[in-house]
Amino acid sequence: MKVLILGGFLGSGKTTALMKLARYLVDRGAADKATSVMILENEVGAVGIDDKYLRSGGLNVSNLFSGCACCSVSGELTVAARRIEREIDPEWLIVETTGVAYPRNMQENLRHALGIEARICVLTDASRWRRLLTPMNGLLRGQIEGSDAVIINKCDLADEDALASIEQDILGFEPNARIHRISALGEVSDAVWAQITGE
Amino acid sequence: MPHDHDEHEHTHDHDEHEHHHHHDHDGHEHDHDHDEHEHELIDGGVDELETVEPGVVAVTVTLHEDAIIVSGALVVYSEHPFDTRHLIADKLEEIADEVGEAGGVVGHVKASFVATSVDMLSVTAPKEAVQIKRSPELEIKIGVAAIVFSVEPAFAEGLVRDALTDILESTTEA
Repeated sequence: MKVLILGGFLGSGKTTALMKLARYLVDRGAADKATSVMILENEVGAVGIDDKYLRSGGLNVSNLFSGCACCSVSGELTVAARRIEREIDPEWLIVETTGVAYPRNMQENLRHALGIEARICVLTDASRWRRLLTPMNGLLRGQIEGSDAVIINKCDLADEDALASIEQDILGFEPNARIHRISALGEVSDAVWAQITGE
Repeated sequence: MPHDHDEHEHTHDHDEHEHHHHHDHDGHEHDHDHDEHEHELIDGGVDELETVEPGVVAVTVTLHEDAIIVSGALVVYSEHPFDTRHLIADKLEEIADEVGEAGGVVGHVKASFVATSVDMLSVTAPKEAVQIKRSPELEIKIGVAAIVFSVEPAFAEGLVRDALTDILESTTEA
């Protein structure tokens, strides 16, 4: 079971991108839809929103409610991942984080507890980046640090100068991150998903 | 935003395992109390929308570092689901506007809207056409998740509670 942690600030488009990524993985996978991709949806609040949207697309979704899997429900994350591997053993487990999570903590948790080496992909919102950068600087930095890939989403809502500036900010947070520009509501090249999943 | 380098150890005892977890939060402070909650494990926890009584506005607020997380749940019955959906959209915009006007930062304000109708199909004799009956009202489950920063938690909670109360009243008046 390969694991991808999909992180990013609130409203960055994680769920929209996840729907497309899951479709890509299902389409190119040898296994059927039920077993090729499993989604573990973490909701920091007591009500699930994204899981209903994802399930309506026919995807296999489990939930972790009422806490953040990077800290307050970190133990539940490892229990869930272990159980999914044992009972379903999907080709891919995608963990969609809360918008306030630090994915690197989850990666370390899975490594230490289960020996799983998860990849991290973090989404950013091009349209709100500049507005959020000062008040949310610590959170944005912490989410991007240690990531394998960073997606600048909603690129259709920002000009080239703004996108170039965002890339510089991201590389300042994580020099080794591979950066991709997409608009998740539009078409996304399979090559982007292939690089994000490391395939 | 400066953060204290707060190293701490977490120990979770679950039925299936004993998990010793050490975080090294490079530059991040995490304020939480692991003794405050217990969770069902996978599906981990219960969606409040599945337990709330119809016609009851349920709102909870929790804090996560600097984030204020307000969760709202409401189940109503309506003959006009699209009117309800439009009203939800208006209310989400109002919540975001009010947070902004109060000097807060909107992380997201989002809602789920699930409307269920029930059709009953029956035939009671040979050569008879099937009768189809549809329940006049749809069950509408509304979940709201507002995550905001830099406002008072009670203020944010009140915004969501007022929004759901208005939605409830709109369906009972109709």
